[in-house]
Amino acid sequence: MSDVLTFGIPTLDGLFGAARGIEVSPANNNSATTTSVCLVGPTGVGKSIMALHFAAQYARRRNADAKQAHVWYASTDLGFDKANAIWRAFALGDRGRAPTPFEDSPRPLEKSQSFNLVPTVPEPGAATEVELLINQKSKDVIFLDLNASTTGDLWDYLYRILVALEPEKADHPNLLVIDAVEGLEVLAGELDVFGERRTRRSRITQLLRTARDHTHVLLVEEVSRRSRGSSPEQYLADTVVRLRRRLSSHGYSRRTLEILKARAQSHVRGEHAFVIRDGKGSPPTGSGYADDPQHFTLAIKTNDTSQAGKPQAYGSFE
Amino acid sequence: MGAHFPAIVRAGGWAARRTISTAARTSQSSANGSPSTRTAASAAGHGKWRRRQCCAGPACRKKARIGWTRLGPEPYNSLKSWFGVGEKNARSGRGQPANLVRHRNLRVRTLPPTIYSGWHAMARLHAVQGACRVTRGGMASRRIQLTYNLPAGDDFTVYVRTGDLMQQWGVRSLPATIDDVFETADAHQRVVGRGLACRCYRGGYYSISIRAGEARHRSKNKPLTGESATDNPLPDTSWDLAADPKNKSRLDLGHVVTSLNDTVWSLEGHNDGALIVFGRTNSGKSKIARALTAKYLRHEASRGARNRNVHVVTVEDPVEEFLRPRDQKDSHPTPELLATSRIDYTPRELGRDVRTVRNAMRDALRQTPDAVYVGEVRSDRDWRDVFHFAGTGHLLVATAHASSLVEGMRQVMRAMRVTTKAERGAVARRLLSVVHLRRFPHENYTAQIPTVWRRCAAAVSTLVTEGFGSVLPMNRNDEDVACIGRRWYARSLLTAGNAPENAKNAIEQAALREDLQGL
Repeated sequence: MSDVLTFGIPTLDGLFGAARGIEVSPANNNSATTTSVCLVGPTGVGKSIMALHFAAQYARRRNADAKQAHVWYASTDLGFDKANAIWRAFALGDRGRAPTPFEDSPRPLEKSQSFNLVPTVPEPGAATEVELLINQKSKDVIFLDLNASTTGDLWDYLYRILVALEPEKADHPNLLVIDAVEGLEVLAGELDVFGERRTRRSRITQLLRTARDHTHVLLVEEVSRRSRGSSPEQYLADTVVRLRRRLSSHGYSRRTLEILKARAQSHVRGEHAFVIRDGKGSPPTGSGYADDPQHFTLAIKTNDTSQAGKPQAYGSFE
Repeated sequence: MGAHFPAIVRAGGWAARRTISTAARTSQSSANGSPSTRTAASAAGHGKWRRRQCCAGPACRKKARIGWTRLGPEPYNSLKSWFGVGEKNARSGRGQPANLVRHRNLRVRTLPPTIYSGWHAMARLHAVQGACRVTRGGMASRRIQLTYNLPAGDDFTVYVRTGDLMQQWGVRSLPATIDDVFETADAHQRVVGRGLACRCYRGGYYSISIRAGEARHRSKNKPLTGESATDNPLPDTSWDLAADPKNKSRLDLGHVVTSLNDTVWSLEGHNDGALIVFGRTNSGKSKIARALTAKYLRHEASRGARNRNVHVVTVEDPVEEFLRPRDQKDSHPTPELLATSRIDYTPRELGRDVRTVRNAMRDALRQTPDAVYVGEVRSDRDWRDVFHFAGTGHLLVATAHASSLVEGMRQVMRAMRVTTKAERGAVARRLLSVVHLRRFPHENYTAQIPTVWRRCAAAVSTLVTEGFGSVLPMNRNDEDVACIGRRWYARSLLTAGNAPENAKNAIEQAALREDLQGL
């Protein structure tokens, strides 16, 4: 039976045809079959929000099915504070999140199954919690903040993270989100840590080949608004979703989304407008959105850093 | 004498003809007028050389006496050894005066033939114990001719003890190698063989490796001793590392060797190329490399269809551990002691037995080795010589110092002057495996944890295209895995080694950290 990866946004998942998500064909052998997704778009169009949705949805399904798999979000441009704000605004940790219609497991997670965005920083040369997080079976989404520290060659570091995350038995594929690929390129330059001149195509190829048997990869690529060419990420990924921002003649900015490619899968072509709501949620009754968090009270933002990583649902389900 | 062993005529070369007896040599010299006459004439102009001449030629007062002895019943046990006399550059007529190798009081020690069986053991154990004088004229080669009654088609090694005169004449006066084409003959048919004699056992012996006979005479699939070799496996040697369950303070190297033995060899079954063990000093790399070599020799000996003993050549500076039967307490073995182990062993010490690694590698190509062990490759030139040999289809095991697996591989590439991807691929194809050992101490427990790069289907191609960035330590040991990380070894080794639980967790964590950092 094929697996389906979803964003947790019903209208977006519906663009992928009857599968209602990115379909992953079963492998012929015992190894897991993985896929690669590329989110392309100019800055400020919502790529990171969608990538966080994708990661959270994957973690949610993993926890619901009690599978052992890692979900890592490696960020080169989005800091943890901002990412966690998004996480809380959309209740991505599933606490307070309304069940998604037409989903295989529409039930909300139990309280013990809810999960957080957990930050970690690579610190070469010292004992870090990265190794601890690799070894333990975490139910959370690990946020690897590559902005906070550098390991020299981030590509090489991610390769090593990938192979270290590989399970001894392919129970359930891991998920690695790289946001954004340009950040890796800037930090590493054209030479790798061994002085070898490497093209971006070569590095992406090695990344996908390293992840092939055990990890899904979501690549976030930032391109200019006028960019039309196909980057190595778009060329190699199985699924490419392009986000755009259109300016109308009245100065109104409108976000659109287009599935450029979905290999071996039917999908709805063309540009589709989408809106990123304010994240305050929908009321539990009435005309709310299915993928919105339910709220009973107004949102109260706090500066309490001790609550970092914990979902701050708009509404109380304690 | 002459009737049983007719004069040996070289198949071609500078020495023209050789005879067994002094009388024959004299007549031959007078017949063609060249070797001895030229020898004497050349030597006459060099006083210091002449003083060291002992007996050959008209300028000498003494006469060389070549002794030989029949060993055992015909046709198997007849061994006749004769150290020839040659002139350097006699073909061109230039260079130093002729050689001064002489043999005096040559005698053959016969060992009880009932203990040994088979051609190879006989040939090896009939060690000629005699004295030979050699010149210090800088001659790189000596002529050795052996006449023996053995059927063609065998490879074997004869150890010739050189005697005390070696010390008398000093190490520097000894030739580095003795390299020649042999002519072998039996009573019925003359066959031509190839071989090489080199100094070994710290100058105490000449190890003469002989391949006798033309291809059409070679026996096929001949068991070693007339019986299946697997029925008589090799005994334990001093190179084998056995696990010591009583040792609670450190991970036993026997476990490491067992684990490496399951992972370093080629998955395709062609164990040719270089197996290099890197590490810092006192990391156990030499012990582990020797133990892996012993495993390989045992594997080769068990194959059965062989026409000689397994042969290992070592090049070290100095010899750290002689290969000998484990129950043999003598640290300096004689070839006779190794007879029971069914291993032909040629230990060569740099500076004493052989001058450079290059010479040793060149000699090894004539010694039919199953494995060559080089202890501590230090210079770029040595690396080039080692890898030149590794590309000849033999197994070469070497040790060297490096701080990490990738650093060791870079050291190799740098020494090989690799500048292009194609050259990197050519060097990578000569690598069988690269092992790096690191010591992980935790409180009162210490473990040597390896990481391995090995040649597999995709290893070379990814190394060519992606460079050392493709050396990613994996946490599994499947056929398609080129690099096995320390984390995998730590988990398997510490479980097998019964490490304390706290040490096990800490060392596993440290091993994972090393994998992430590429160390």
